[in-house]
Amino acid sequence: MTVTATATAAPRRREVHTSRPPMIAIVVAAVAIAFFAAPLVGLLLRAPWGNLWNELSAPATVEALKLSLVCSAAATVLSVAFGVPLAWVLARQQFPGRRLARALVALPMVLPPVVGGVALFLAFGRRGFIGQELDDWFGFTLPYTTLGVIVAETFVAMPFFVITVEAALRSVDHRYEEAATTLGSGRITTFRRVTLPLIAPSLVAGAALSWARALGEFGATITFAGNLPGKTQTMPLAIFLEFENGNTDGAIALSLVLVLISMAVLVGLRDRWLRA
Amino acid sequence: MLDAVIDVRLGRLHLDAVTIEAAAGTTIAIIGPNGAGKTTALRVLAGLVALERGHVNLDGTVLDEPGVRAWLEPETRPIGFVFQDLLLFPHLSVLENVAFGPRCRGARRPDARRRAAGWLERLGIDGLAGERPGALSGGQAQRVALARALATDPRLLLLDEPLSALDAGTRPSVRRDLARHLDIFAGVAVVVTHDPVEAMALADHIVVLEDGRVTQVGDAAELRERPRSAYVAEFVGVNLYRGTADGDGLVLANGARLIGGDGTVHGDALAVVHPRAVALHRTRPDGTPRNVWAGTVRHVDPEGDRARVHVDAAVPVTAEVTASSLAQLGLGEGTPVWASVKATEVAVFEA
Repeated sequence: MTVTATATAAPRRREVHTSRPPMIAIVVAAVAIAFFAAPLVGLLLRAPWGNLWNELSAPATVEALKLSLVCSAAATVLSVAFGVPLAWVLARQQFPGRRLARALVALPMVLPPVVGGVALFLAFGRRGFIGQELDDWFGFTLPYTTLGVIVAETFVAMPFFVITVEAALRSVDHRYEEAATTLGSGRITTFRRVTLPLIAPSLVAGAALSWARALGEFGATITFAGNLPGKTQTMPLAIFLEFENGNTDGAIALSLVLVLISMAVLVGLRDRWLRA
Repeated sequence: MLDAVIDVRLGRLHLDAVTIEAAAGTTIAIIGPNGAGKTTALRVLAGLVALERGHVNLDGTVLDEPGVRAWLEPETRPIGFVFQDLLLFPHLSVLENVAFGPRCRGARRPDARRRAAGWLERLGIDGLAGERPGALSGGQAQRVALARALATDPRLLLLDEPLSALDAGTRPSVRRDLARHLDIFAGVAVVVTHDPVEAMALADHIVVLEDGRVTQVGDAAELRERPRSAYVAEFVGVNLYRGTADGDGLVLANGARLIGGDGTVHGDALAVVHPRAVALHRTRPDGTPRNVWAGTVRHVDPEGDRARVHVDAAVPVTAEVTASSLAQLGLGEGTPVWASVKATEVAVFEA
């Protein structure tokens, strides 16, 4: 015990000396924190607490919430189903154009969502070069449908999953996979029984991040899928509409629901992903 | 029966026609300096690295022979591999780790678990079945890794520095256990090590690998008597004795005594004396050395400006002397001679 105590005492003293930031930094940091806290406080101060239940139980609200949950869940499932193989290929395979592929995957993270919506429309819209084929062959169109919402949300959300899982796949010790191979495990079994469990925390974190992103999706959705109540009007769209129409109480009530869900994701992830 | 000629290039390393032959039931040690290609040779046998030329045959089956385009995927080879860092799956319990191999090779889950439990019992670690690898001590983890490798009933067992992850305190007992299991193992075992004591304790034959080439093959006595390289002479060709340690040193099977060691080892033990620590005299030395034996010179091997002199005595010993002192002493075959070793030059290890 004494040994540990003396071993840590010296560096700690030095740390105290160098880690005390100058006053100006503390002040600026406090301003920044206030900047993050103020909107939340505003929301809570103006919330129509007495009328909250009425606002939230309105049929239109319930419909928007349901649509949001269904679409974001579907987008997450699609992100995982396509994202795991994609992340694996990006992390482990050497092929020409891999850098381009990685850039393409990351693009929706930096692209303004509304631009994404326009681009989706030009590809999958009824006159789009793929949408036209879909219409001709199968007779269905994506824009202004619930499926269109899911496609838009997947487009903006999947990169979060792929980037998280790809990083995990790169950092996983591939010698565990070799050990599995020497025990008679084929590639699929190794991936399922060794690789995936080893990166499980990142799978969960990636899925949660992409789900949160899908839940909040606004720009691409409204551009690509429109704003049809019960069909494409998700929570963020409903909030915007309420706010625009001057029904601030309704907008706040809906916002509080999303704040609550976001907080739940943060708390759920704090051990896995947000650990400094 | 393992018959391999390994020829492969990996970066700067070139394994140049490295030949490894071993009969079933025997253990081969591959020993050599760092970067000599020992681990790569094991990985070739396992199929984790493919040959460029040569072949790997096991019990008449071709595992890898690029010349005839023969290749068996690693997961279908009848091998067990104990990795240097053990690589127990951290997300599986000890039992599930050991059952992993049988499961992959087609056993049903209950059968695989039963087999795994049997191996844990045989290695004396059945009490750990439910533990996660992270909770194990070094010696326990090593036994689990061995159980996992043996649970698929391999015909070729590959061990990469199997004891290097252990601290000095637990190494002897695990080494003893390992030697016992290798003794009863029916297939071929190949152990990679850089520790001559480990090699001699575990293996029947030693393959010395230096810079991608085999420089010598033989048992411990052959390596000591005729070291073919400076590395062998320095690190492998040492005088090694087996016997029983008491507080003062080692008693050999013939009753002869070797005084030395730090007195902490008791029971079955090994003693190591470097040939350069052995002094030779024509008359009985009167100084202070604690170990003095009278004998005759059996053989002299000159090696550059030094020579190895093999002395038959109650404690047979190889001495390394300079060419000039060899001439001064007038040593040749049959010359009567006195050999002496200071007690401080005798290292005693638990066997």
